[in-house]
Amino acid sequence: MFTILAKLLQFLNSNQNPHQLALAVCFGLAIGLMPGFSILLILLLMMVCVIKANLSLLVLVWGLFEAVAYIADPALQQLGYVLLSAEPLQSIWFSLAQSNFWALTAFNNTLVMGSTLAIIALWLPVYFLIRVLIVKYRQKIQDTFKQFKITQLLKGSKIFHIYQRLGN
Amino acid sequence: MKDIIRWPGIVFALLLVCLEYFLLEPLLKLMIEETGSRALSTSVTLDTVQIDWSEQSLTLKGLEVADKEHPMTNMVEVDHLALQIDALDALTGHLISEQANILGIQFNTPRSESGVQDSTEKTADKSSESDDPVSLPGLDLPDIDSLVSKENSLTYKRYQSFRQYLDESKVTYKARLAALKDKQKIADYKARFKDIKKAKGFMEILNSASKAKDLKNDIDKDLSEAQQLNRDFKQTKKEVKRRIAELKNSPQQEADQLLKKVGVENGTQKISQLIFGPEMKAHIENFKKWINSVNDSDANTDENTESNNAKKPNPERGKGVFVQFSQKNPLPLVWFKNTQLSGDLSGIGQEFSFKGTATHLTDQQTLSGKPTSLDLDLKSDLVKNAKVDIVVDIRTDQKLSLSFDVIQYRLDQKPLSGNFTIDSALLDTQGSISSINDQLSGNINAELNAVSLKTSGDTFKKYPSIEQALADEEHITAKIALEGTLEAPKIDINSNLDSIFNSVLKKVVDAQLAGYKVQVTEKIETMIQQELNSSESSQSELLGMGGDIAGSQDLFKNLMGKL
Repeated sequence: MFTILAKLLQFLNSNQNPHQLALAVCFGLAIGLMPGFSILLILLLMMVCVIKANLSLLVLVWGLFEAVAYIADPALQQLGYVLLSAEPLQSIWFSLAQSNFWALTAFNNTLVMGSTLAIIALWLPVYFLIRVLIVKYRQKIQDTFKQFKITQLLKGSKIFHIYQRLGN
Repeated sequence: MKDIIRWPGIVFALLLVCLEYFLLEPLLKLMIEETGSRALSTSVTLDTVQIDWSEQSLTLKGLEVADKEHPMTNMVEVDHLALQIDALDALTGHLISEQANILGIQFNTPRSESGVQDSTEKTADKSSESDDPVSLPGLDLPDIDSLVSKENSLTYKRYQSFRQYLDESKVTYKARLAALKDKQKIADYKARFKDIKKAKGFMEILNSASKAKDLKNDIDKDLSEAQQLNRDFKQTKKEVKRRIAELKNSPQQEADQLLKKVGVENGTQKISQLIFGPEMKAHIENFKKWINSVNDSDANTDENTESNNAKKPNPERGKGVFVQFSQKNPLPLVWFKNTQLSGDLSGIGQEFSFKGTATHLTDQQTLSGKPTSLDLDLKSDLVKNAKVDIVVDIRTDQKLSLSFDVIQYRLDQKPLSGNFTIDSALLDTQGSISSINDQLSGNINAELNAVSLKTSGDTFKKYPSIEQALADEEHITAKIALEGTLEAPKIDINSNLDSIFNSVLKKVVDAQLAGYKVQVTEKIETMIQQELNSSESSQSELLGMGGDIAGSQDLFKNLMGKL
């Protein structure tokens, strides 16, 4: 727990572009929520390889959202089912079903559809929120935080040593 | 751009694609094994999978499909299966091929490891093979004691009727004679006669004339009755004679009737039905099993399709539910449009290898929209030429048809029913069998040349002439007509063997019957001899009444004369 916290602080305090960190969170969120049997997961992993995003943070968020996906599974399934059985959307699903590519995405799976919708809905808000938070943190909180007495105390603690070690 | 794209990442992604390229074959092998096992509900294994990207072809080697009932046996084994496939169709799990080669097909081969599946439900084999003992009809004559008994004997019944007739006649004639010759009545007539004779004087004479007239009328009545009695008695005598004559001939008549009843007649036996009937039934049973296996695989596919059509979300975490949307041109899971086939049938008890073509091999004919047909050439050292055509059409009804043409198939030591064995023969046969929703129909012509037919067991020990006649026949023809249902097929076999058998049978049965008839007649005669002896006294007693009956007529004639 301390290690994860320390790692998170390290990412925040590093000089990395906030955009890359926000992208890492978004990709971690997407990969964590997407079920393993869809070809969309492979596409996401390919994109992660190509697009600059902090991989360590991505893996951290991925793990976190695997747990979130497990908890949210029934809600995501229900959401997917509502979409797939919605009468006005039937013509769209019907036309997608005629294509082999879309069949590979398993779009007609309730969990894939629910997760995809959740990813699309969360992507931009999460991206901008994380990006703004990182910038704000670096501008206002980072220096103030360093002057706290508790921070001084922590510098001599185990967390700080881990933090230092990871930093090196 | 530099801030967004990770150039080493592209190299890594390409490396991943290359890795996938090399891993695709084992992945595909795994996918085929899993999909096949699920679709067929039995273990499906492969040795290797090879993909040729330039040719868009897929080669499967060492395909083994385990038998559900016998896990240590392969239902089908295929050495080499080469397909030209559409890659996108294959990625979506549809194995569609315009041209396929399935070579080295074998059936019922042993497996190195058990092919049992967790979900396999073993079902008890409910087929009850009835091994009815076969015997030649009409040759075994029944035991005489069981055939002839007092309870069932016609002669004995006739005798009983005769005895009753004698007794009743005796009683009737005695009563009628007693009434005629009543002493009181005769004495009354005599007294009335004397009284008439005594009359003197005009009035008395006039009165007695009237009395004489009354007396004459009464005597006339009795005379008429006596004459009628005489006539009736003559008739009874005639009837007694007729019945005695009938009883004399009765044992022989009864013997004839009994022999007819037990079916000891000749000229109608169908020996070919006996010899080839069970053989044909066994073939139809195999045909039925094959049809059932086709129907079962179709049902399995339907079940899988139905399970995919589930509408409500499955609560199982991490898997979701696939909602099915109708497709304009839905494809079956497997569809080989044109296939070259080769293999051998030794695993199913046929000493043939085969080579041929199949069109539209598929697991879901309703989706392919075409019937499946197989044209096979069967090869063996035992046969000059053999062709089999099979058409399976289960799109709407369950239609299956099979036609064959076999020329010079050498049969050696072929056991048949009824203790017959074809020692050697050359068989030419053509035929067609079809089944539509369990309704069976078909015609088969068979011609056996250079036949050596032998018998074993005790069937013909008593009838060596029949055995010899059958053994001497070198040319056998048979026309077999099939109808009814697969469950209860009606097999009608007409063969020249029937007429050969029947002509010999007639001679044998005629000779046998002559002796048997004498025995049956003697048995009946002996049985009723005692009764006939006892009836002789009764006869003489009845016939002895003839004197009294004739005397009664004379008595009344005398009285009338005096009057």
